Formats: sequence, structure tokens, C-alpha cells
Amino acid sequence: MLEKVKTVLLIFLVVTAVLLNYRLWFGGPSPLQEETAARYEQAHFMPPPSREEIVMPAEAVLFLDDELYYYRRGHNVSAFLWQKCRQLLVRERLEELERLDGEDKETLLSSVSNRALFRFDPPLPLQFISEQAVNDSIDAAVLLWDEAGMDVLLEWHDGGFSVKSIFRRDEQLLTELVSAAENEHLLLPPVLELYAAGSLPGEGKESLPNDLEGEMGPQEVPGEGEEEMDLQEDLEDETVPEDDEDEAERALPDWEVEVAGDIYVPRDSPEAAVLALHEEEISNEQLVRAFFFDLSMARRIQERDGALYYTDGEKGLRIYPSGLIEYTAPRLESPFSEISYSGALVKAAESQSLYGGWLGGTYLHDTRRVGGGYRFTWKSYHDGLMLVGENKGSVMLVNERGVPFYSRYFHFFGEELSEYRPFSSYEEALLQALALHEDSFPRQRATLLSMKPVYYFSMEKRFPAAVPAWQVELSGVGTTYLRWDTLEPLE
Amino acid sequence: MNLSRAKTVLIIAFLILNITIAYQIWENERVGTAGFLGMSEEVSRLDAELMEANLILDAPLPRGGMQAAHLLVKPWRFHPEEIITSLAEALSGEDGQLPLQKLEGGEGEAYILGPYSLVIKKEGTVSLRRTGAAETVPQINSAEEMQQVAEGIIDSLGFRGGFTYDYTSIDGYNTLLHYRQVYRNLPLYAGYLQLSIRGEELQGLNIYRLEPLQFMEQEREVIPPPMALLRFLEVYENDGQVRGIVQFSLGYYSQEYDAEKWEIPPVWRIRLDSGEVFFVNAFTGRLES
Repeated sequence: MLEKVKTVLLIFLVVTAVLLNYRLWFGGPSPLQEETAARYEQAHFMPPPSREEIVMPAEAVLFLDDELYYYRRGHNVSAFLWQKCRQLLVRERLEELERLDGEDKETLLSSVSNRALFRFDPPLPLQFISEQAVNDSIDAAVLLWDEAGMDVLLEWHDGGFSVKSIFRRDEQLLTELVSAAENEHLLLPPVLELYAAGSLPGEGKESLPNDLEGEMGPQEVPGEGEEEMDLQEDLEDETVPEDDEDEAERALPDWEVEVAGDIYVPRDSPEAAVLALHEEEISNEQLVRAFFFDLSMARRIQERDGALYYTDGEKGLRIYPSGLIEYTAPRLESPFSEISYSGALVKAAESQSLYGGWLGGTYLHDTRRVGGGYRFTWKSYHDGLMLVGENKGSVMLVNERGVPFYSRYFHFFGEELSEYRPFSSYEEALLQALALHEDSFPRQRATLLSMKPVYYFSMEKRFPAAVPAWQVELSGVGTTYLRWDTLEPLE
Repeated sequence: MNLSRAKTVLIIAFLILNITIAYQIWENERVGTAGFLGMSEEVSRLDAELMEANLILDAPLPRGGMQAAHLLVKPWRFHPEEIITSLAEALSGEDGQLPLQKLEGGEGEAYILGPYSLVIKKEGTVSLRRTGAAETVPQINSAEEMQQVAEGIIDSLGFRGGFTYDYTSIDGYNTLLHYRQVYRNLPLYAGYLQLSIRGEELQGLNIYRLEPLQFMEQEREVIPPPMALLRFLEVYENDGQVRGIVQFSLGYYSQEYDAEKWEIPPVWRIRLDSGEVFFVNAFTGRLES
């Protein structure tokens, strides 16, 4: 028995000696080649969204016979409508699209009275909703339907149009779309004539749209058909009391405002209240791990203003006392970038999930091609109204090499700080904005570039708050924010 | 000899052999070298890279396999008046107190102190420069003599604490004496005192002092010296002249910050005979600016 043990032990020692000799001569992993092993950990704050959710429509518009329903990005109906239509587009596999010229497109639009329009700003890479699709982006998708069937019209980012006919109506989808219609809006005419307070006998603050039949002739809106005419008639019916029509025609308007593009305003003033804003709370340790992977690689600098700065010598993360986060990696900057738009979007979405998470209520708001890649901006939304203000939201620069710059400053919407009160009418808001910049428009003529309700970041009694406001952008004077109830200028 | 005894002898022999080899392997890995064959390849590669960079390794590479952590420091707080008073007293000769004049504008606090200009920046650096012409002084050749002169000046200034002699270099007619801080027997290169002396006369003085607070908890292994050297060679730009690496040592370094407190990383310091000094982050292998 002892001899057997000796034999086994000897064999074991001989084998061990061979292995040890091999290790001695040839060594383990080379210290010149092997980096000190980085300790990677799961650092995502939350998984990135699916590709079809990276870009959501900036606006969804339902045209149902004579009615127009409008939803901005961040409104739950907008997401619902797009989800339903997207499912149809995925199902229909957007292959064999028929290219249309502008005339054909107009003919198609004028032949159908019901449609759902989804406008994308930033543009949506079609690959995100259809694997078969070509590598191009769309600015708009329109679902048109009548008794005969349905069509999908795509407006490409390069300006062209394509259509795909669907010969069988999806009754369930159409029922769902129609049942969601609840936010009636008006489309502003190309020229607005406004009458300031007291300029009409017997009126307080009053404004009138232009004489559609007389001065302007039939309104022409790209992509619109007969319903716009009906809409204008509704507008006229609603805003010009019949008794005053003759008087209005005689009076000269105080302001003549040219409307650039399609601007939609609510038919009925929505109610809103000042809402408390709460700073996003992110664990510093988790954030540092997301940027540096290994906490021991990042060293911390506590600055005199209370900011914390983390750096590994190549990249830096600064966390300000206000909660603003700024990250820079200068070595990742590149003067030229060949990254594709869709590739940059996917990388940005993943990075956003990694660097703090893709929060609910935040949406991709803007994309810009810059010299070294793409610059993406995310904003917070509440009930379809965007939170605006300095440094609010998130900005990310993306190129093939990674993310050279990132900033993040999100807030959560909280409890009401005021009573719910209706928005002042768009005419009153526009007149107020014009009055504030009267000196810039000596001829009482202006061009309205955009107008929409938003939430404006403000410090109410030293606490951050979201104040409902009209955002009015006039050519030559920039953007003005007016408090929704009193129309006091904000800023 | 019977078979059983032969087995016993062989078992003992192999056991001793295995223990010896295992110890050698452990020692190799501790100092960060590969196996004999791999090591020779790596040594050849390092030699080739050094030759390509016109560098000669004149200093032994220290052992690797060490653990280290970031060091938390804060700037040394001082009243400029104390520095000014110490300098004025130390630099005043038999002729009496040096006249002091404060300059307006510029970065930090600036003064004229007799033939010297003095700048105290808000991040804590103190810089003294002789602006007037140097007096004719006898030449001192011995490094030991220069060090004695320097230490005499430092002692007269009264802020010797925490600084220890590092090395001497030559800058034109001036001799530069470099002192550094030490924390728990580790060099703290980020804190320094440099004197520029001609003869026995002080030409310039730079001081930056840190207050080490503690080592951070999270330790990790520093990169082996050969790897640090290779990473340095990747970024080193040679001017065509052959230089020697005269020192390769581990310590702590960071640039000066105007901050409350900060963590500084362990570095491998590479000093060339030209006077150039480079710091390679001992965690990341990147060159610290």
C-alpha cells in the first residue's frame, strides 16, 4: 500500500515539475502586453430604449374630416398614435415604395380627407422601424385612409416622397385612431391681422384673423387639402363675431403678422399650473463607474465652488452643486467623423442609458451634424409641453471614437404650486410679444416663426419650478417667454 | 538500493526541485518579469524601443507587483505675509531690511522685494526671481558645497518642514537644487521646493507644498516598471540626441489645482540626464501632464 502511495506521489511530483518548468521558462501573461486588468462592472443605469423609441415624432396631427387634433412630443396620445401606426408600418414591411413627385403627392393628399400625420424633427432613420427599409431618414410619415383603403406616405429627409398602398383597411387601427381624437387645434393662416386692445369699438383685447376670402384668397398649406379651407371657415366663424364683421373689415389692423410654416394652436385654452421641479438624484459612485468603469482609476478633486471633478488624466467628469453634470474626453474628439446618422443615434441612446439613464418624460429633441460627429439634445416634457431654460436637458457629442462631450441636467416634474388656470389665448400672447418688441417693428409688421405652449424653468421662492408659458419666436427679435396666465415676460 | 528507497529519494528530490521552481516563479511575478524565454524577448523589445528613442537605461528598474491607492491631499494654507516676512528676513543682508513694494494687477499677488520679484498665486505656488543683476561671487564647484549653501538658505527661510533633498541639475550658470515632499516614506513629487543658486547667491525659488491627508481605501496593483517605460516610450519625442534615464522611481504626483482637496495618483517618475522629468500614471500608464 505504501509503495502505491509513493508511486502516485512521485508521478504527481514529476508532472508538477514539468508544469512548473514550463511556467518558469515561458512565463505567464507578459507584463508588457497585459494591462492591469480593468474591473468592468455593470454600469448601465437602465437598458437603452428599443430602436423604434429613440426618435419620437415631434408632432402628431389627426385630420378627421373637418376637425384637426394635434399632439406634441411627450403627450401620451402622441405616443399612442405613433405606436399604433408604427405597428402597421412594421407589419407592412416598407418595401417596393413608389416614388412620388410633388404634384402626385398633392393629388394624393387632396383625394383623402382622413389622415394621421407624424412629423419627425429630428428625422427618423427608417431602418429603426423596418429592417427591409433603405438606409435613409424620414421627416414625416402620413397614414391616409378612405373607404377604398389606406396609403402610407413618407417624406424623405432629402425632400422626396414615396407611397405604399395598403388595399385592406385596418378597421381596428382606424377605430383606435379616431377614438384618441380629443385635443382640437387650429392651424394659423399664412397672414394674421391682429387688433390691439381698444382698437375696435366695444371690444377689449380683441384680435381677428385676416379676411380669408378677400385679401388672401384660398389658404394653401403644403400637404393640406380641402379641410384647411373648412378649418379656416371654422376659424372665421369662431373668432369673428358676425355682428362685427362689417366693422372689422373697415378697421385697419394694428399688426400684420406673417406666419412662417405650419403653426398649430389650441382651439380651447388648456389649463395648466406652476409645477415644482425636483432635481434628478444620481449616485455619484454609480455615475463615476459609468464613465470610468473602474473606480480606482478615477481620482477626485473637490473644487472650491463645491463641485466634484473626477479624472483619470484623459477624461474628466464634473458634478456641480446644482446637479449639472459635465463630462469631457478631449482625446476622443475628432475633426472629421464618418459615423452614420443611424449609427450615431444608436450609440447616443446606449450612452444616454449608460451615463445616468434614459428617464421617463425625456425625449430626443434635436440633432445636429457638427464637424466631429453628431450633437444630440434631450429635453424633459410634461403633458406634451417641453421644459425650457438654460442648461436644461442633456447634450451629447458622438463620433466613431465615442462620446467626447456630455452634459446632463434633468428635473422631475412634481406637485402643483399654483391653481390650474387656462392659458391666455394665442392672440393675446402674440399681441403681448409684439408690444414688448414694438421698437423692432416700426411698420407694425412681423414674422412669426414659431409659437407654442411650454414649461419655463424658473426659481419660485428660491425653489425650481416649471411655469407654463407661451413661447413666441419672432423673426429678428428671437424668442420671448410669456407667463401663461398674466402674459408677463419671463427671464 | 531497492526500488522503495529509490522512490523516496526521487520524491524528496522532486519536492525540493518543485519548491525551488515555485519560489522562482513567484519571485518573477512579484517583480513583474515573464519566464526566462519570454523575459529575454521582452528585454530585447524594451532594448529595441529604448534604442529607437535614443535613450539609454542608466538606472535599475525597481521591482513591480506593488499595491497602491490614491493619496488625498489639500493645499498648504499660509498667509502671504508670513512668506514675505520670512523671505525679507532671510534675504536681507547687513545693509538692512529689503524694501517691499506690492504690484497691482496680474495673476495672484505680486511684490518687488529688493532685487527680487515675488509672485504668490491663489493655488499656493510661491515664485521668487532675482530681477537685478547678480553680484560677482566665487564659484563653488562641489555639489556637496552647493547643497550646504542651499540648505543654509532653506533653514534661514524657516519652512524646511516636509521637504527632503531630491537631486541637483544645472541651468546655465545656475545650479538648481530640487527638494520634494515625503509622505509615509513615499516621495510626494507634487510638493516641491526648488532653489536656483549662483555661487552663494539665491537667484530664484519655487515652492509648492501640499498637506497629505490619507491614502484612499481602494488599492490596486501598479503597472510593472517595464510596462510603464514602454508606455512612456510611446509618447516620448526625442530631439535626436542620445539621453540617459538616470532615475526611475515610484511616488505621487499631480499638477497644481485651485481646489479644496483632491486625490493624486501613484506615478513612475522617469528622470533624464537632460534634466527633463516625466511622470507616468502607475495605474493607467498615461503620461501625467
